[in-house]
Amino acid sequence: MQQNRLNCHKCDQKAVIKLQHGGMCKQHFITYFEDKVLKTINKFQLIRYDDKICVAASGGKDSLTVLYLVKKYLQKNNFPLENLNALIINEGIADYREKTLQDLKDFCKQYDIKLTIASFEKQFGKTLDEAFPIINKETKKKPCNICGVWRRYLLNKHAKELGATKLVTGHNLDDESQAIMMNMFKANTKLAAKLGPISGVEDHTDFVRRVKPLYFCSEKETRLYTFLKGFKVEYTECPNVNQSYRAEVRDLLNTFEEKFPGTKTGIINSFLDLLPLLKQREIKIKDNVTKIKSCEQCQEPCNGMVCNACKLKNTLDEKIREKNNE
Amino acid sequence: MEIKVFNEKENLHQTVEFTGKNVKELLKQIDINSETVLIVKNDEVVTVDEPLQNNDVVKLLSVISGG
Repeated sequence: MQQNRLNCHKCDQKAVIKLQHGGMCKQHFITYFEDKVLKTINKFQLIRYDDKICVAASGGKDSLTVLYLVKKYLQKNNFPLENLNALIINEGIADYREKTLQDLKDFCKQYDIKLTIASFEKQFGKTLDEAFPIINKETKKKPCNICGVWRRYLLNKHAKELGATKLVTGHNLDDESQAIMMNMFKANTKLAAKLGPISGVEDHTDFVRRVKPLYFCSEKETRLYTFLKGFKVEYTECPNVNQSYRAEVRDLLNTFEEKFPGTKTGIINSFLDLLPLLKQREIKIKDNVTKIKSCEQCQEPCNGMVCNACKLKNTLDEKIREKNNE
Repeated sequence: MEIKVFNEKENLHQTVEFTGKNVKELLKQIDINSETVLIVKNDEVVTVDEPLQNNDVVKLLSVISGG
């Protein structure tokens, strides 16, 4: 029986993961994973010496890993550690965010990282659980549509307030390959042009550029890394996830990956070949058609007169007023 | 043989009657995609090629988090 067990292809230790190039033991996997992340930061110049860094954190496996490794990167390169902040958005989703928020607080305390907490309730007056049924009744929007708009809004707003020049996210290989396929299926090349290890099409003073050091790391690798490093990560899945189109694409890609290992990496790598063309095209269209404006209500950047975050808040406020007047 | 399985995502403990050889076959039997779980056997992380024996305890930790 023992002879069938997979061993590390670099040494003869027992493997903890089977990758495309063979098995890997605990120590070789940790080295491989950390090297991969640090090389991604270097290759795409995700972090520079004088960057002020805000890590968008949730307390889940991806954000704890990226927080830990960004700090490690700064230490390794003698970059100033005081430039590192963590930022969490509390959406107000019962039985979900409270758990990961506590994990994040504990983690930041242990690794001496400053943490800022923002919330939907504070900014928009209601938690997501409270706002969703009200907005949904009027607009038919799903929770993820509301959450996505408000989260992105608050991350950018608070990152700017913290003086950040880079907003680091825990987006991984799975997130990115899902996003690529979702945009492909819906023929949304405009959104696809904003993907990549550095999000967005070009620099803009009102947007903090988002960078993704875990770009080439799968969810499975990241979960394994947190397990082997002993980070406290409880299983949490947003209760709204099953209502999302993304969950369908995620299942599809996992089925493919199991049958044809390397599928997700293949998607990412072929997309990276096309990405410069998509970005160029988007810059040309933008030059001719749309310029980023300021929202007339909150002054945050937007394409129209009022940003999507304010539009959702307006709908919410209007419906609450109507209800109060009944 | 009998394998004790804990599925973290479902928070479910079950005893599985198993006639296969390894974790890969076990996952197939209980219809779980190996891409979605980290496999811990008797408190050690293992790969899908890991052989199984009677009374082994297998934990399936979900790799999916977030929304």
